[in-house]
Amino acid sequence: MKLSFDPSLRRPLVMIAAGVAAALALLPVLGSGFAVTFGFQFLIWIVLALSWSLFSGNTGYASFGHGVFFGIGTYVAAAVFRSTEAPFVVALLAAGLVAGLLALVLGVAVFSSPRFAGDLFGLVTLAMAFIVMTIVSNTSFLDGGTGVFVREHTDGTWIGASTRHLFVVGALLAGLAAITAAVTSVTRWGAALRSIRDDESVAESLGVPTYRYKVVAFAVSGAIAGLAGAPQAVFLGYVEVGAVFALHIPLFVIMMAILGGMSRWWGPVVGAAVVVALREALLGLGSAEVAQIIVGVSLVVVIAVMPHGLSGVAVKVRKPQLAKEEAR
Amino acid sequence: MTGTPLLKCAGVSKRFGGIRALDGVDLEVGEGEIIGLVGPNGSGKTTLLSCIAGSHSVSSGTIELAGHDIARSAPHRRAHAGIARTFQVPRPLGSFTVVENVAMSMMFGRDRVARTAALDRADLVLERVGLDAHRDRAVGVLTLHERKFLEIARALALDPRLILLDEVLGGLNPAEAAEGMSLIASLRDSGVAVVYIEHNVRAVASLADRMYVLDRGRNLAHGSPEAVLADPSVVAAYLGGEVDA
Repeated sequence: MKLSFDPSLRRPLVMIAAGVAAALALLPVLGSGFAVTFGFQFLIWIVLALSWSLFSGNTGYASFGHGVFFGIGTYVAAAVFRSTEAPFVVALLAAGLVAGLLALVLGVAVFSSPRFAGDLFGLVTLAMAFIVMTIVSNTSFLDGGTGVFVREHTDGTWIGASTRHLFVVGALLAGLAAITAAVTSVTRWGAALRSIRDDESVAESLGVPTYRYKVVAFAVSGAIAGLAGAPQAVFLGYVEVGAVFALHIPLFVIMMAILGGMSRWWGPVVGAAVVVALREALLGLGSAEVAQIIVGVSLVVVIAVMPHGLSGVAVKVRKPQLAKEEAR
Repeated sequence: MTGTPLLKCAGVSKRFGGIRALDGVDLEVGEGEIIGLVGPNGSGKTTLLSCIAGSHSVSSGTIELAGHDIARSAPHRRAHAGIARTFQVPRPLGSFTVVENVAMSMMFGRDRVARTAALDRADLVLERVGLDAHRDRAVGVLTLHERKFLEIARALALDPRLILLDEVLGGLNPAEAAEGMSLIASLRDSGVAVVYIEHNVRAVASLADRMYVLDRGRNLAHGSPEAVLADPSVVAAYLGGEVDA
């Protein structure tokens, strides 16, 4: 098969490479304390927001279960650390693979029935989160209700030696997620996904095998979220169901994607930056609850006044005619 | 018509809950033939088109394309087999430009053309339907006339053997409708078969090789336009009076 390079990809790929390089170059400046930890968490949010948008943003099927794949990735990595002496990369790949397979199986089942299209899909993914959480909680190999200590298994390894190493992994995963999003935005694969969002029935009539595209995109989205779970397991040190499968994770991810806008591949990155920065700034006020309320209200305001999110506003400023036509 | 028809619908029925929208409908289309499909509102014309295109499953009956049963095939497989359709109310893909809408048919249709090549080829189709000046525009700004022609362009871009046209002239002014009719007539010259639904019976009769009339989900009559328009049962049930054929 002959692979051709789309020239319109050159700019985003250069920007992604520069972004990852800048993050890595910044590492010595950040030191090893709070800034690196904050940076690592920010990078993980970027991975989650981009991977959610890869499926839900492009196809319009809003998933409330994205935290499941992140959580499964975390648990699979924890199980690998606990049961083997394998290097981190094995745990990372296992996390991505298992999360991807889980998404594949769920996608095959859910998308087989047209009854689960639209709003019901969101409800099904929410139910799926509770089912997976219960299974993990009752499976001794994964959790068994006691949680899993990871730190004692990663101490002395490269990944467990420093938060800086987690930051490096986070930066590389964010780069991978960004490349996937950018490539999706200009390829046949991305066009198929966006046509599903616009009008699935029309897409089928034009020859798009919508079922196959939905299943594969859901699996890839789940796999990338699963990959992010591996460094998270090391970061947490102790993995337990309540923290890993917390409902605020998928909700924050959705908020980031909507706030940043999904009509441009980089929108979720902007959304992640704004939500993380806003949350951190508001936490300084001293009340986590007030911070949550303000972040939530911000989302409602953005949805009301900026239907295409912050990235849509950026396009409006730079290319007013294009934004005007898109808005109709 | 001799030999295997391009499209053969036999005993096609479609129920929506307790409502029988189609009840044992038969339809045959030969290669390169233009078939007019008429009938009063609610007679099942669009439902039949949707059953042929695959957006509705049939409750019973068979649909064959060139002798192959396609009644259970997914819509995208029917598109790959050579069936294209337009929608009564135009449904352009909103986040794609005009040329991208047309290129989608080429990228995912029978030949699976690469994106760049599909965009180039889509220009030729846009030129054919007179939308080349709108190539890079968002579809949201198009007029009804332009949207209807974009529907036809997208169908043509599939390089189909059969096009299902659902009221493509509805809502157009006389000049636009005349333009549309000459476009449909040109399909015959390129060897594409057409099943054509329109409320304007005279427009259908002037283009069709044969006509089918549906009434309350059943076949009422079929034959040459002259014979169908003169059929007393058609006049009584559908036209409601004398017609100058």
